Amino acid sequence: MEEFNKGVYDPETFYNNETHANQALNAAYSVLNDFGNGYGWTTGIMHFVHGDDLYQTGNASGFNGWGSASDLVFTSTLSEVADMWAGSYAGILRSNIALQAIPNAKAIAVTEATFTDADVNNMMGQAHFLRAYYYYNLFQYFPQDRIILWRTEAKSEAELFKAPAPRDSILNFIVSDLKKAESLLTGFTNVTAGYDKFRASRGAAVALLGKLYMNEGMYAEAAVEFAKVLPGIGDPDYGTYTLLDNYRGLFLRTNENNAESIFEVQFDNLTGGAGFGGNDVNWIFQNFTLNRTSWATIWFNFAVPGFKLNEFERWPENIGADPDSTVYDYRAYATLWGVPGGANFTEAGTVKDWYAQGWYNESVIGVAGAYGIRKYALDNTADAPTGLDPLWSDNNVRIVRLGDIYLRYAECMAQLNPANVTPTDVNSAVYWVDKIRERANRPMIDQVQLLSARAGVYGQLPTATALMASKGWTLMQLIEHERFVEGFGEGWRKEDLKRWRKGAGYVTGKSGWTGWESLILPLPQSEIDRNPNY
Amino acid sequence: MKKQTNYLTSNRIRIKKPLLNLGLVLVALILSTSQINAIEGDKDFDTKSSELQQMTVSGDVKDETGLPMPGVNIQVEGVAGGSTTNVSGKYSIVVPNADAVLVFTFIGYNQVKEIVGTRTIIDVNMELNFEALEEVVVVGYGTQKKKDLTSAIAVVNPTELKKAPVANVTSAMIGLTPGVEVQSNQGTPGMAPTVRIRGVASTNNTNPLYVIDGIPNENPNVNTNDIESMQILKDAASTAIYGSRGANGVIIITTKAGKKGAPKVSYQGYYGWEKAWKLVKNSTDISDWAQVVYENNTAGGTTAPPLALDIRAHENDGEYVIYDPSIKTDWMEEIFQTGTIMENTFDISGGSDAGNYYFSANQYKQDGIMIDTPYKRYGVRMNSNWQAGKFKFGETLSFTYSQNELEDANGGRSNIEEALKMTPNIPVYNPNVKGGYSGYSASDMGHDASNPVGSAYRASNINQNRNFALSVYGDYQILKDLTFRSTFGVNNSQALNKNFTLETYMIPKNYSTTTLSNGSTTNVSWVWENQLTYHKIMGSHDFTLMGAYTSDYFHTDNFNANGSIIQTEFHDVLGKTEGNWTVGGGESTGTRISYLGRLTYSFKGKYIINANFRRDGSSKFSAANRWGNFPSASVAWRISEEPFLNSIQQISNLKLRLSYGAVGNDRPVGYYTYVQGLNSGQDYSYNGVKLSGVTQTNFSNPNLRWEVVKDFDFGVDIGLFKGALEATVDYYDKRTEDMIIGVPIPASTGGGTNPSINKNLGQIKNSGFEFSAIYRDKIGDLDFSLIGNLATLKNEVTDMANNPLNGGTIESNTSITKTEKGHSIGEFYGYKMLGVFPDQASVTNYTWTNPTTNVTSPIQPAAREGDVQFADLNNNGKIDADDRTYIGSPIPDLTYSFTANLAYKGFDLSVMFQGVSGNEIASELLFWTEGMHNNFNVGTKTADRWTPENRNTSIPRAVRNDPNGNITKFSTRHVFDGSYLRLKTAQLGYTLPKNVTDFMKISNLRLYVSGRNLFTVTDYPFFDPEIGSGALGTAGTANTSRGIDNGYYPQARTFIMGIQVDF
Repeated sequence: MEEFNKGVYDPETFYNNETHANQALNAAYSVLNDFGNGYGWTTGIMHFVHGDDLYQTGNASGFNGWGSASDLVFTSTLSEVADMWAGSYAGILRSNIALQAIPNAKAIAVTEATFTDADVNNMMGQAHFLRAYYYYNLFQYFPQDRIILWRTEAKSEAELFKAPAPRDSILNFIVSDLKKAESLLTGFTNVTAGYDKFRASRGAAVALLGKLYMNEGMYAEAAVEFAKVLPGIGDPDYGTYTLLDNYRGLFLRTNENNAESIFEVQFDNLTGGAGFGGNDVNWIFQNFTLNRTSWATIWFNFAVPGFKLNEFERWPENIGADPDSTVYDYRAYATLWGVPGGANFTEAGTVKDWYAQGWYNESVIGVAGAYGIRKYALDNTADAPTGLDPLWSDNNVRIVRLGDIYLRYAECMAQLNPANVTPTDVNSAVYWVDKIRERANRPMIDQVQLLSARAGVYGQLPTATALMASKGWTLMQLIEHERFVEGFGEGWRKEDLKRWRKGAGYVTGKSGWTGWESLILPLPQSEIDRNPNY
Repeated sequence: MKKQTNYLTSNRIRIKKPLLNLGLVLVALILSTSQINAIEGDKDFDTKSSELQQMTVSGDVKDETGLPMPGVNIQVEGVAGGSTTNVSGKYSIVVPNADAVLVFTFIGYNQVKEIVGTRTIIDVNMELNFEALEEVVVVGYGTQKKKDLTSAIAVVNPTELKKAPVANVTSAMIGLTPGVEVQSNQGTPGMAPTVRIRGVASTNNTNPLYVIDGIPNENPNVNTNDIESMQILKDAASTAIYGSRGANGVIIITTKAGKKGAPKVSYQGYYGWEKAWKLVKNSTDISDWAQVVYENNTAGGTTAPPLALDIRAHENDGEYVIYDPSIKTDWMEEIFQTGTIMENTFDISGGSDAGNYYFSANQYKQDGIMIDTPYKRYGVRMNSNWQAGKFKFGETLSFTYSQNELEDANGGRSNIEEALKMTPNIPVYNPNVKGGYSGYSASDMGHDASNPVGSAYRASNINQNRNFALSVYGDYQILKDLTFRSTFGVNNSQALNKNFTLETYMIPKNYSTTTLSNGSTTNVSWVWENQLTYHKIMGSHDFTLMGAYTSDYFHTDNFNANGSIIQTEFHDVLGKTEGNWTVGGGESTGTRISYLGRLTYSFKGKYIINANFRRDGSSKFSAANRWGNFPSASVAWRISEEPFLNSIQQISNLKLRLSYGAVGNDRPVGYYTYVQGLNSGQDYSYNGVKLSGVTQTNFSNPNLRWEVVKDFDFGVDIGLFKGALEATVDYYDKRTEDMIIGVPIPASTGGGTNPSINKNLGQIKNSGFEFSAIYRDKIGDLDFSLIGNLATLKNEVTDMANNPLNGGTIESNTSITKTEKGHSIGEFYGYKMLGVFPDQASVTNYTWTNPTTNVTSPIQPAAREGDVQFADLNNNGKIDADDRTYIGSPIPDLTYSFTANLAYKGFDLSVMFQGVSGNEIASELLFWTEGMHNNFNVGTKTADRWTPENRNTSIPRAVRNDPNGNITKFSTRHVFDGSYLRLKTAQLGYTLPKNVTDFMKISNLRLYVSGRNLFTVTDYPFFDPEIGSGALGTAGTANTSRGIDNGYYPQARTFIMGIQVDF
C-alpha cells in the first residue's frame, strides 16, 4: 500500500553523492536571490531602504509596505517585517538541511573518488557561513533576545513551536559557525577566478565575524578578523583582495565578484527574462536606479533627497568654457543620478537629461529636488545583456566589500588608538581612510560629461588629516563622513546608525525615526499569534 | 390466444412474488414480456380484425376487498376513448372484435388486461399496486426494495433527467432531489456543475462519489440517455458502505440493459437554439463615458485623457475630432450570440433467455451563447448480460469523446469584463493591423481593456477529453441462497489541453508572438470487487448478509510543453514552434484495499435493521493512519404493516426511519501529503550557470487522516390514498470532524512566509429538513402528477482551530470571504455601506467622540460629498479593516422545486420550477458598471451618480483612483440577494396515435418542444444568479469562494424541438 512519490525526493535517501550534497548547499544559497524572501525583492528592499539613504517618492506609499518601511515605520503587521523574518529562517532551515546532507552524502559515497574530504570541508564551511549569515541578519534586524535557535530542522510537531533562545546563545552560535567556516574554508579564499569567487569564502567568514564583533563594540576582536583580509597586513590564506582603481567599476554588472568584493548575492539572467517574480534576476534595482526598458517608463519608488548631496565634498574647477564649475567628490557622480554636471542615462543612443525629465522635481519628503541611485544601474540601454529587459537586472548585490572593511578597520583603530593620526601607520585610522580617498580621486569610467571635459584630471579630495584639520573633525567624525560618501546607497547605514547610537534629531524626513532604536524591527504579529512560546 | 392470456396472468403473478436480490433483472424480464406481448398481439390484430364484428362488453369492477370501484378507466387497447365505471363499479364498453383487449386502470392499482374473446360480461378484481414500493433500489453492493429501505436514499427518475437539454448528467439533476444542490458553475458549454449533497461538509473538496455500474468514479461520465436508474445515497447509513469516500454522498448510476425480445431500435434527437436570457450593457454613447471620465479625473486631481476632453469640448457643435460618432460598438452584442444545440441518440437493444444487449451511440453539439465557445461530444456504449446455468456474467463498455473551447480569460479577465470596459467608439475590426482587430491607442483612453472579440478569435483554449470505461462482472450461484459476484472495472481517461495564441497587434492585449502550449493528463484506474451475498427467508424472517473485499488502483500522469513562434496559424503543432520551449510533467499513484460487510434483517416486513461496516486502507496515509473503520446502522418500522393501521385504508404506507453512521472523506488529501519530501528548483547561480538546489521547504504531517462525517437521519415515508400521494420527510444532522485544515506554524520554522501544516482539526455542522412529495391522479383522460421538493440547510463551522480561512477575489480584494467558527463556510466579509454623503456637511457631521478624551473627530476625514459612508462598526473613530463584518452567505437557506407532469390523450406537458432563496451573490461586475474610478466605459446606472445636481442617490461620485474606497472597498454595496425562482424546464410533447404509427410501421413516435430557463424571477441585477465558484473556465470545487460573480458565462435560455422514435 506504500506508494512512491515521484514528485519529491526522500530526505532519508536522496543525499547520497557529491552532486546531491552540492544541491543541498545550493538550496541554502538560493534564499539569497529568491524573489519572495531574497535580495531581489523583500530582503532587497530592507537592505536598501532600511537606513537614511533612500526615501519614498510617494509612488511607493500604497505599494506593499514599502512606503512605511522606507519611513522606518515598522509595524508588527508589515509584510516586509514578516518576510525578513521568514526569509532568514528559510535560509537557516536550508543551511541545517545542508549541514546534515553533506556528511551523510560523503558517508554513503565512499567510493566516489572525486568527492574528497576537502570538498566536504569546503561545502560544510559554506553551509556554516550561510547559517551564520542568516542569523546575522536576524540579529541585526530583530530584537536579539527573541530569536529561535535551530541546530537542525524541527523534527516533531511540538518542535515547530520552539521558544526563543537567550541573546548570548544566538551570538555565540553565530560566532561558532563563522569560526567553523573559517577553519573549514582553508582552500576557499575568494581568489579572482574560479568557483569560490562566487561563493562564501574564508575571507567572507572573517569579514562577517569582524562586523559582528564590531557591532557588539568588540573592536579589538573585530580588528583581528578584519586584518586577515586587508592588503599589506593580511594573510594570503584569507584571499588576496585589493581596492579597485575605479570606484564606478565596483558596481557594474560586467564587473561582478571583482577583486574588492568579499561576498555578493549572485543574480544571473538564466531563464532569458522570465516574467516578473523570477529568482534569476533582481527586481529591486528598478525601484531606485534606472533599470528600465525606456526612459518614458521610468519611475522611482525611492529616491535621494537633494540635501544628501551636501555631504559630498566639492571644489570649483574650470571646465571648458564654464569657469568655477562646482565639481563634487567623484563618488557623488558614481553614486547618484542627477548630480549637476554628472552622468546621464543613454537610451538607444540618445542621452537623456535628468533635469529635462523632471525627476529632479520629484517630491521627496515634501521637498522638490531628488536624485536617483546610479550604483548598480545601467548607464546605457545598450549595456543590457542580449535579450534582457534592463529592468530585469541581473546585477549582483554587493554585501561585503573591501572598501567597507577598510573603513570598519579604520573605525576600530579610531576606537582602539584614538590618538594615532599618523598617515603612514597601519594602526591609525587615517591610514585606511586615506587609501579610500586616494582611490576616490582617480578618474572613473562612464562619467559622461565630466570625462569629455576633463580627461585625465584627478580629483582634489584632501587627505584625511587635512580634512579633519579643515573641518575640525574628530576621527569618528571623519569616519562617519567617509562611510557616508563611500557606501551611500549600499545599505551600510542601518548598521552604522545603530552602532553609533544616533539620536532622534540625526535623521530627518523619516517619520518613523526616533533614534537608532527605530531601526530594530518588531517581531511579526503573525509569529506572536502562531507561536505560543512568544 | 391462450398463450397470450397466460402471459398476462403470469405477468401479474410475478409481480406478487417476492423479489429476490436480482430484482433489477426481474424488472427487466417483466418489462420484456410485456413487450413481446404487444408485438404478438399486433400481429394477430392485423390478420384477423376484418373477420369479426363490433360488440358490447359490460361488468363489475371491485377492489381488493370486494367493494365496487367507481371511476375505473376502461379502454380498448390501441383505441382512443373509453369508458369509466359508475358509482356502483359497473361499466359497459363497445369493443371492435373478439381479439380486443380491455385495459382497466386506476391510480394506485395494478393495470388489468382482459382479452374479450367470446365474453360479453367481464368482471374484474383490481389489486393494489405495490409496484412503487416493490421498486428495486440499488444501494451499493446490492439492491433493496424501496419499502425496505432504512436510510435516506433518493431515486431520480431518468425520464426527468432526459428533459433537460444539457451536456452533463449532473446539470440535468438540478431540482430533482431535495438536499442535492446542483449549482451551475458557469454556463460554459460542457462545464459540469458543482453538486453538494446535504450541505457543504468541509472547506475542502466535497464532491460526491459517483458509482457507475458498480465502479466508483470521481466523474459522472455517462450519457443521460443511457441511464436506467439513478440513486442518491444521502445519509451515512447508506454511504458508509463506501467508507473513506462516502462522506459527501454517493450517486449510483446504472446504465441500461436490453430487454428480452427482438431487437428494438430507437432514435431520439433534438435541435434548438439558445441565447442569453438577459444582457447587462454599459453605455453605448461615448459622451456618457466622456462625462464620467472627465469628472472622475478632475475629482481625482488628474487630467482627463485627450479623447474625453475633446468630446466634451465639441459636444455641442456635433463635431468630434478624434472620435468618429458613427461608430457605436455594442460590445455585449459582439460577444454574445444565438447558438444552436443538438443531440442525436440511437440505441438498439434486445435479448433472449440466454442474455440481453444494449448498444447506443450519442452525439451532442452546442455552439454556446458566447462567441467561440463550442462544445461537442460523441459517445458509444455497449452493455450486455448473459446467463448460463448458475453463471451470470456481463459487461458495460463506454467510450466518450468531448471537446470544448473555453472563453479566453487571459489574465483572469472574462470576456464580459472586457466587453463592459470597452468603450463604444472602438470598432471591432481593423484590417490594417496584424490580426485584424482594433484596440486602443494607449494615450486616448489611458486604460487597458482589450477587444474581447479579438481575444476570442486570436486565442484559443481547447480541451479534449477521452474517457474509456469498462466493467465486467461474473455471478455464480453457489447455493440456492448464496451468490458470489466478482466485478472488475477499468477506466482510462485522457484530457488534452491546447492553448494557442496568434501573433496579434491589438493594444493593449498585444500578442507579440504566436505561442502554443500543449498538455495531457492521463488517468488509469481499476477496481476489483469480490462479493458474497447470502439471502435467506425463513418464515417471517428475511435476512441478507453481504461481505466483500475490494481493491483499487489509480495512476495519473501528465506532461505539458510550450513553445513559441509559428510561421502560420495553420501549423499549430509543437513541432513547428521555433523557440522558448519548456516542458513539465509528473505522476502519482494511489491504492486502496477495503473489507466491507452488511447485514439486513427484516421481520415480517415491518421491522427492518440494516448494519454496514467498512474497513478501508489507503496509500494516501502513513502506515500508522492507513486504516479506518466506517460503521453505520439504521432501523425502519413500517407502521402501515401493523394491524392497528390495516383498517385505515387511506394509509398505504407509513414508515419511520432512523440512522446513524460515520463516513470518511479522503479527497482533501493528496496522494502523498503525509510524506516529508525535498523539493527541487531551489537553484542558485554561479557565473551565469544555474546550479540545481534540492532541499526541504515545508513541513508535512505524517499523522494526517481522512475527514470523518457523522450523520444522523430521521425520516418518515408516507403513502396515502392507495399510493396516489407519496411523501418523504427527512431531518438530518451531519457533523464533520477531523476536517483537514492548514494550521499556521511559525515562520521561524523556515517554511516560508506563511507556512502551515495540515491537521485534522476543523468541525462543521450541516443540518436541515428535506421534503419531497408526489401526487398522481387521473381526471377523465387527464393523467397528471405533481412533484414538490424542498430542502432547508443550516451550515455552521463549529471549529476552525482559531484559524479563519479567507477566500474569494473581487478585483483587488483578495479575501472577501471568511470561514470562521460560528458562521457558515465562505461567508462574505466586508464593510457596511450606510449610504452616500449627500453634501460636505454630512461628511463633517459623521463624527466619533473619543470616550476618554471626549474629543470629537470626523470618522471619514478624507471623504468628500458624494462618497460612500461606511459604518464604523468597531467604534474606534475611523474606517479600518476591523470594521468589516459578515455581509452575506452564498449558501441558500432553502432550495426547492415544483414539477407538474400532465398527459392528455396523446399530449404530455411537463413544467418544472426551481429556485433557491436566502443566499447572496458578491458581484465583481459592479466594478465595471458603477466603478467610475478609472477610464473604463461606464454603466447606464452611473447616470444616477452623485453630482452636485443629484445629491440624493445611492451611487457615489465619479473619482479617479477611488480615494474613499467607494468601489474598491468590498462592502454591502457589492452584495446582492441571490434568490431566484426560475421556470427551469417546460416540455410539451405529442405522441402520435397508434393507428398512425402502425401505418408508418413504427411502434412509437413522439414529437416535442422544450425550453429551459424560460423565465427567471430574481433581484440579482446582473447576468445570471445561477453562479458557482472557481476561476473562469474551471468547474469550481472551492467551497470558500462560492457565490462570487467574476463575470461568469451566464446560463442560456434554450428552445428545442425534439423527436423520439421507437422502431
